[in-house]
Amino acid sequence: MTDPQPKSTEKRASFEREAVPHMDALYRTALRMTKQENDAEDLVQETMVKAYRFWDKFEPGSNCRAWLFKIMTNIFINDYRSKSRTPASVDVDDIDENYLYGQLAAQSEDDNPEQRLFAKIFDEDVRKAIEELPDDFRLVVVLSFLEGFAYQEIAEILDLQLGTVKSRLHRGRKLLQKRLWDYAVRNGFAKEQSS
Amino acid sequence: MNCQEALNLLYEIIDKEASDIDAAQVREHLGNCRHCFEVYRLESAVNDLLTEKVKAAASPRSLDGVEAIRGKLLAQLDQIDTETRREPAPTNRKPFGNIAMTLGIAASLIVILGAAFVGRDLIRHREVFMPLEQAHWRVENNVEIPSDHSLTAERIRALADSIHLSLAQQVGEFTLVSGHVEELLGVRMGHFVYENEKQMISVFAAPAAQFNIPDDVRDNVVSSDGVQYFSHNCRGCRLLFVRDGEWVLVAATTDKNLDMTTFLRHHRVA
Repeated sequence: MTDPQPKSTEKRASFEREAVPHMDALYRTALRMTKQENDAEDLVQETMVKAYRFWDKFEPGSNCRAWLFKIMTNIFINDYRSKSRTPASVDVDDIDENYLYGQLAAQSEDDNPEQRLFAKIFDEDVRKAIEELPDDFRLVVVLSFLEGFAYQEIAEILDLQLGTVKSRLHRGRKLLQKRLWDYAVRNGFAKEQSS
Repeated sequence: MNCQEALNLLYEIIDKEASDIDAAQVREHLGNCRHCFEVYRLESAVNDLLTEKVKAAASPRSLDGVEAIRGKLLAQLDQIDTETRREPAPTNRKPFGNIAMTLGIAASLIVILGAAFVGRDLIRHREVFMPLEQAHWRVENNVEIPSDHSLTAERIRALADSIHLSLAQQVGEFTLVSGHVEELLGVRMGHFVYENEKQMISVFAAPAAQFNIPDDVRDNVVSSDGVQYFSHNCRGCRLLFVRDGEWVLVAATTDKNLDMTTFLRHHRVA
């Protein structure tokens, strides 16, 4: 004769059915956000506990994955961002729009220069390149490339205007391309063309 | 569409976010412009490779991390569930480490509560209200359900008809889910249960010839649409009584905010 038990077990069951399966994806993204396994584990744990406490606020049938990512990015921005080191300011405006195209087009006679280039780049180098992106760009790039969220979903998750999402994603891409290209040049996979 | 316009839409096309009209115009432009076509080809190839690389780079070397959190998380959810269940009973919390002190306080609380209830009230509560509350709790907690608990909708209706009671199948978001006859307070009464996704409400129907609204609630009048209802609230449950022709109807719930008059209003005897 205590509390209505069915309510809490029903809540628990629907949470385990709808929210818990997204933990792998949350962890994958948390790793790219925090750059540390311990921090990523804590971040996902906090996210899921908070989601459970607010589970009655989640509208059944709406996008649970986006809802969870929104909770996680909020916790990350408020509590973790200061902990993670961001490289000294990057001058994002300094990137030439068609830099990679210019370089690759001048590269060689063969049809798919980009494939030759990427074949030599290790996953580990891509991971580093993502982690070196400034936080604002990294969040958008990870949500788009890794999780496949649409622009509008990213805007809602991060509380940004649609236009801001587009421009950050655009800049983030260019930064990523530039870093990987520089990496290729440094390691002798590609030669810098003076334009 | 000129080159600049086509290149501005580059990533929206690659990300499949462009409108159909834009996409069609870009396609047309690319058919006529070698340079833009090359840029698109290269960028989308780079994009595919990058996506592939990003995903490969992101798959954790082992999923041990996730497995570890999953275990920890489920334990933590258990704890939250227990806390939630305990909330209505503040005596379960232990604000003091000292057990003797806690017991002392509990004992004095019982004395104070006992004094406040002043003998007669406590006995009345046990005799008059508790059986109804317990009948509702049994349904809510899914224990000791009478054998004919799970009736089909038609049989619930037939049961209501047999005691000349008009029952709404639906009250707001609540649906009539079960009904049975139960002996409570020495009277055989109909016990009907409505539920929505979160809450449950019992409606008892007792013949007025055998069951009176208890005197104890005469002063707690709730008027709605010119009808007088009588309420009894205690720690764990709320009861609402109404006399309706040959019947006394009682609604019971554990929810603090539910407006029970809507239920009794919809159940007026035909």
